[in-house]
Amino acid sequence: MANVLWHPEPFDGRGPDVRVALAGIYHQTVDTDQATYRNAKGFQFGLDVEYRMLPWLSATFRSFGTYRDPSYRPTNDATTNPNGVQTIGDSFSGRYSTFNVTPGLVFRTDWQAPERLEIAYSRFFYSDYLDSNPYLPFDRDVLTVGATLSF
Amino acid sequence: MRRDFVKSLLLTSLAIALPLPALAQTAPLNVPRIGLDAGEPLTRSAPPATPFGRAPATSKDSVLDFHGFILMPMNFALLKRDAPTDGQSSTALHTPPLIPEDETRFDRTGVIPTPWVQLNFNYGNSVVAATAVIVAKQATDAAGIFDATKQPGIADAFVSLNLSEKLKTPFIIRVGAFTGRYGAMGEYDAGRYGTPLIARTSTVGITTSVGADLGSGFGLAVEHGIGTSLARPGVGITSEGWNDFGWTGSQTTPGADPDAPKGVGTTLVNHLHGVLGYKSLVQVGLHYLGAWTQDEQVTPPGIQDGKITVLGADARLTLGPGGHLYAGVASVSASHAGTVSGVISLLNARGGPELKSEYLGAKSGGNGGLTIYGAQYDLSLARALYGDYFRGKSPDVRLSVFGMGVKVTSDDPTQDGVSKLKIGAEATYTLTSWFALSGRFDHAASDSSDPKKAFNVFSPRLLFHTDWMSRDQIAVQYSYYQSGDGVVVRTGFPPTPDPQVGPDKHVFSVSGTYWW
Repeated sequence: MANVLWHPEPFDGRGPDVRVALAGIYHQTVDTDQATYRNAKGFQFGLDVEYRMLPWLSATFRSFGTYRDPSYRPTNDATTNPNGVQTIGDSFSGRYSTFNVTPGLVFRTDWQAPERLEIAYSRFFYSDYLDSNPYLPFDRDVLTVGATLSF
Repeated sequence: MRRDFVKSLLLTSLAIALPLPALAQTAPLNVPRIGLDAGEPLTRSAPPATPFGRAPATSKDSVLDFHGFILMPMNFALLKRDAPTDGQSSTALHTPPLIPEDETRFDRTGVIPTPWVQLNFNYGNSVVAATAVIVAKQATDAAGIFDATKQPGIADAFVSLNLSEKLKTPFIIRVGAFTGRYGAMGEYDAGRYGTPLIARTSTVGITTSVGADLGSGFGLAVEHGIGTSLARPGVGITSEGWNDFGWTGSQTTPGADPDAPKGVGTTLVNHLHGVLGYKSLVQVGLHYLGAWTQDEQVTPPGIQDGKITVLGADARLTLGPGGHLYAGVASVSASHAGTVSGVISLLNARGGPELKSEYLGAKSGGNGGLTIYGAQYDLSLARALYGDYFRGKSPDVRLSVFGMGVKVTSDDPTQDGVSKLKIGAEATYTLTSWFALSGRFDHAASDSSDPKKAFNVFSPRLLFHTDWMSRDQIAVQYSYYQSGDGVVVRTGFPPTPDPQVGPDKHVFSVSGTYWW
């Protein structure tokens, strides 16, 4: 954002800034001989926002997600899919969906320092199809502390 | 020179791998040292003991700094065959020697050197640095049998942030995977037994160290850390050699622990330490460590969460000509500790499972306690006689007396009330710049009430250096083990007590050591 706001002056990275990275992938099966995969589609997305407010402090927000519908989980049972195809050893199951939101803080020694000390909290969300084992559910709350130095 | 060593070491302890340009140039701070630095070798340093890994050259720009330690001994034992048959020699050889020196057992003296190679890579500047430590306890070419657990690779990896200059007081944050060792009995190392007296943490987490110069020669250092492990044994994993027989307690493992049927769980350790020092003379420290597990995957209904708590106190006197004295005591309390992992080690026993197997007993349920005490006194006679006139570049006699003891309380009646004790003395006479004579005596008893479970070790040695204060050493050592009938060695894979095999008596060792 600073690059945009400072234009035509060059921005050297030594000042407050908001950095945004956004990515996504969409996929769809257009042709297959396996009926269970027909019209399967999904997407993945990622969002990374960093507000560099001080030389030593940033606030971050990240979110990543994966969605696939339908999602195939093999079993040994005989099943009939919505297309009327009966198979043994196939299962035509539900919607695979997971995403997380991760706010965090980043500490460093200067605007352009090569090191980062990060503290982040992640909240994970799952579809029922994905997190389907009530006896061993996925974790939903994750705390992370880490540091990196690149050189 | 020696006082400069000490002062810089005090600062180094709070700034491992970080150059200290500002601190080195300002008035010296009286901030004491807490434990061993994260990158220092656990193995005892070869004499003359000098600090390991001196702070790298001060630099505002990032620099690469490289330190290391190599100790690679040849150890073998000689024994007489009882009834040699045709074609057999009357003398048998053992390597490694069959002696009661397993790392986790209390009566380990450490007198027989064991392989240790450590490479420390530091990159950074006076403010921030990254450290990676590579460790090996075996050299592949000479392994005989390759044991992957003896070549762990990267043992520590962490980032250090030094805000001392900005905050005008020592302040360091370390984030990553590293070990904390508290109760170092030696002046520059973990002592003659190579064992931290109070506790050791092996975690990935964050540690914050703060120092304050209180004036009038007093200094205070406070350290807090919290960490856990990167992973834990998966439920159902079989305890095997490749995972160092991780005492997972898997149901498929024979003798699975009924107190921890699914093995160790996710364990956190929270620790706080404070050391008050007066100049470079006296340090008094208090230590608290709490390790606990609350992992529903290993403690189903009916199995209690495990906990190990350590409270310790120690004192260190660095008296210059008067030598160096360390004394410490720790109280350990264990509650259903079978599920507590090796993020915390007590006298080299990792977590609850080894605490049970080495001290509390199989029938303890992981419940009980230890009272640990120890002391070490080191003296240089030349320094005692000549004070600062002695620069380390002339003949000297170095004396050391040391000891460690444990009193066990346990729900296992066979272990409740057991006292363990080991004591020793060492003398080294440096005759010339390249040659020294040394001798060490050790006595160790795994049960002080039973003399049959005690042994003595007499170890004369010849030491060769390239110079008075060189960092190299070649040692030729002979050790005579005088063992009671109740002393049992461990054989097999995993090593288990084998009453059928008697301990070796005659052990020879030739080792080369170099550190930089």
